[in-house]
Formats: sequence, structure tokens, C-alpha cells
Amino acid sequence: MSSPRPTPILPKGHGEERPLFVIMAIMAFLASLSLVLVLMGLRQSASWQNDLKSAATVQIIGEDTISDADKAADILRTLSSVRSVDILSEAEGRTLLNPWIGELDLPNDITVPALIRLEIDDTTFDPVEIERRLITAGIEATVDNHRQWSKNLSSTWNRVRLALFSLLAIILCATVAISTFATRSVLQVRRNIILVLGQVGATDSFIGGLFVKRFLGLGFKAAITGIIFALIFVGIFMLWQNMGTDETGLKIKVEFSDILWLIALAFVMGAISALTAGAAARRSIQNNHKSG
Amino acid sequence: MVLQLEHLTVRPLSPIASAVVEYLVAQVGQVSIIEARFVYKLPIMITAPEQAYTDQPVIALEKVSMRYGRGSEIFSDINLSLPAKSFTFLTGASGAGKSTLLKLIYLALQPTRGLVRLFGKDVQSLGRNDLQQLKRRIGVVSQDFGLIPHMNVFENAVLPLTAAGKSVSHIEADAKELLAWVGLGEKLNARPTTLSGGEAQRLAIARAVMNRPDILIADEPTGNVDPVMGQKLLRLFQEMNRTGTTIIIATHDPALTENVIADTYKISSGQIERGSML
Repeated sequence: MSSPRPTPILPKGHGEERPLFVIMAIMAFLASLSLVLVLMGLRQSASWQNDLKSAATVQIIGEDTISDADKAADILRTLSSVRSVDILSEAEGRTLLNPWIGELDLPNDITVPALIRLEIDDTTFDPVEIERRLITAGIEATVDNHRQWSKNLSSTWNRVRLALFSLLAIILCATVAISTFATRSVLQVRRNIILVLGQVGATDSFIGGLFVKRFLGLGFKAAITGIIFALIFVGIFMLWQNMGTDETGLKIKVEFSDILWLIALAFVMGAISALTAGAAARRSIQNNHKSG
Repeated sequence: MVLQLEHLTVRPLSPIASAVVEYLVAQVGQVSIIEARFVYKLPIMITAPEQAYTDQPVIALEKVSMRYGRGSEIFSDINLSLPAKSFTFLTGASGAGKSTLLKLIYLALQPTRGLVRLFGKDVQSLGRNDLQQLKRRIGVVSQDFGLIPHMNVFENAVLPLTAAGKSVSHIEADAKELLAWVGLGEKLNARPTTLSGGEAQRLAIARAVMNRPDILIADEPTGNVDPVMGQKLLRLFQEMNRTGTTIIIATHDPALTENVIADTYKISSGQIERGSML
């Protein structure tokens, strides 16, 4: 006769695991979106900061801005910290005002400052010194290396990132709570089995291990399901985004490294679920033992 | 006429055993099937436990009182001391507290007051892991059998080993032999829910003895089996006792006790006294 097929000591539930699976998948979905936003934001922020670091803007304010802009450009081209100089046309300058004034035409008596876009070496570029040189040359100009804006952007992004990480942490804490409740529920449903195991000498660790095995698989599968749905959601968003014409702002884009992070998230959620279940089972058994 | 057949060394249910019994029945004509079954050598795992014994009692209850919740006391300050390798029957009217006393001994309950010592250790002073280690030295046959319904007969029988994290492969043959010996050889893959009361009880007994316990505690172990199987199980308990296991059995069944040399304790009115069967 062949050996009987081994059966798990802790049987799979008759439907009691389905709600847990769904809730865990939703948690994984939210955690995935948070993580994708964090990763995407990190990339976008780094890219923006990099662009800002290597660029500066000179604003010519005087009466004859076109002539002053040419003179300023000549001076700027002589500087070693300046890699390229690009005078924006008046039309380009007005375009930059569009976000504030829309398509309205400015009255002719309002002078639009001439703008010079610089590509710079951030390590040696000194805006104060350059501004002083331009003023000395009789050009009324201000030099902005975007440092303040970059600082504000960085500070804002740090707050957003903290909020997203907090959200991720809250979701993982919720996963811990859900696993704990689910474990207690299974312990209650399988009380007789736990009693028998205790009677035949199974240690709390052994019983905890049964829950670890049970919830590891469940947590991992639920996390993968949630992540797949999150990727589908992001994919749909990307398609919708690509159909639009707006080229500015934050672009939703998932890279391969994000997928690897999401897989890691699935393992983390599976592990959290399993370890929490194991610990909750041990604690619950010990409490029951103490209470008699 | 009763034959002395102890020298036979055939294994239970083997073709040789069957042939010998058939031959004896044919030749002598007065060998009852019960007696003939007794000649079978017990399964190989029914051997002496490895632990060394000391003179101190293996089970000791000192001034133990017990009550459930806020109910009245089931026992008041009872004392009980059972030496190693003893064979004890626990008797008393239904509801007298036999099962509760057994539960105190097999550590399923804690006394309201008093001290329970097993193998010389105060069990209340032990940590969880030490308690579980101690439980592995006790085989239990409870009245509700305590079988796990979704596991098959074989898996239930070897549960003490599985729960101890041991591999069952090296005792698989012995386990199957034991299960065959209690009449479950053809039902290794059956679920407990498909077993009769008697079969479930025999499975519970097989599980209790599977781990070669130092103490075997059985609560009404023959309540659901026919007299022939009852005697066969008693023989198993006697054999285990002979090889060093301390046996304590709660029973109402006079047939179980009348042919056994054993101590008998009776529980009555919250007290325990040494006495004879009801």
C-alpha cells in the first residue's frame, strides 16, 4: 500500500479566508500605489533638481532690454562657469507668462523683461558676482540660479515623500492588525485542533509555525493580486495620460526597477502577514494557558 | 482448559499467527478466540520507555482542589501519589470528577489550589516549553478521542511525532503495524468522521501509545468497543505497564478491572480514597 498523502495540520478554511484575502489584496493595492508614487516622485524630483542645478536665468529689466540682453550675453559667454547662453525672444518670454495671464495680450507700454537662459557649471557659478559684473557694465539685471526654487521644490517633495512613506507604513500596520485578527479568528475556528496539538506536546513555536506557513502563502498571493491590480490601474492611467497633449507636470511612468520593488513589497507583505500570524498565535495560546 | 501460549512470538494478524491459532483451535478445541488473540506479540513499539526512574512518585497531587469558574469544588484538598510503573484504575460515579482529575494530571487543567507534580517536577513552576516537553511523555485517551477530523487515520496516529517535529518515515512501518493491531490496518486513509465510535477510540489509543509514553492516561478507554477488543486493549495496557509505562485508567467497566492486578482509587464527594471497584 502506498503511503497516505500528507495533509496540512491546519486545514484551509471553508470561505473564512476569502474576506481576508480580499482585504489583504486591497492593502497591497494601496501600498503598491504609494510605493509607485514614491519611486516615481523620487525619479522626477531628482530629474527636476538636476535640470535646475545646471540652469540659471538672467533677467534684463532696463529700458532697452534687447540691446542690454546682447551686451549681457557677450559678457556671460566669457565666463568659465557658463557653458551656453541662449537669449529668449520676446515671444518666448511672453509664453512664459501664459500660466499667469493666459492668452491675454499685454499692453504695449508694459515692458516684458528680456530673459537669458544659461547652462552652467553649478560648482563654480556665482550669481552674486555675475550680477555685480553686469550692473558694473551698466546692465540692470538679476541673476537667478533657481537655488531658492530648487530648495522649495526639495522641501515640498520631502514632505510629500514623508506623507507617502507614512501612508505605506500605515498600510503595513493595518496588514499587521488584519493578520492578527484573522489569526485569532482561525484560532477560534480551529480551537479543537489547537487543543489536540497542545495535548500531544506541540510547542507554541510549532503551532505558531503552522500559522506562519498558512499566512505566508495567503499574504504573498494576496499581495501579488493587489500589485497586479495596481499595475493595471497605473497602466490605464498611463494610457489615458498618453492620449492627452499636456507635456508638463508629473508624468506617471513605471520602470522595470519599480516592478522589482513591487515584488519585494509582495515578499514584505507576505512576511509581515506570516510573522504577525505566528506571533499572534503564540501570544494567544499563551494567554489562553494563563487564563486557564 | 487454558493454554499457556506466551512463548509464541508471531506478529499480530500475520499469516503465521492465523495458522497457529487455527491449528490450536483445531487440535485443542477449547482455546477461545480471546485467549488465542492474547498470544500475539504486541507491536514492536510497545517497549520500555528510555527514561530512568527514581523512587519518587511519578504522579503526585498534594492538597489539590478544583472548581470550574465559580461553581462548587469538585475536589477539596485531595492527595494522590502514584509510583512509576504502577497500574491504577480510577473509579467513581458519573460526574464525580474522574475526567477532571485526569485532566489535571495530563496538564489540560490547572488546579484551583494545591500542587501537581509529574516526574518530581512542580508543573506550575514550569515554563510553556517545559510543560509541552512533559506532555510528550504522557499519552492521553480522552473521552471525546480528540481526533483531528480532516486528517486521516495514519496522520492522526502519528500526530505526537509530527507535533514534536520528528520525521515519521522511520516509524511508518511500526505505526502501520500498531494500527493494524488495533484493527485499523485497512483504514489508514479514512477520515475519523467515517469511523465508528469503537474505531475512533482505538485510533485514539493507538495515538496515545505511539510516542512510547512514560505515563498513559485513558478516560473510559473501552466505553465504545466490544468486549473482545476491550480485553485486547487491556492486554495492550498491561504489556505497556510491564515494560515500564505508568498506567492510569478511569472506568465504569468492572470487566476491565476484574482480572487485573492494579490499584484502584474511588472518587466520591470531592475526596479520593483507595478502594475497590463499584
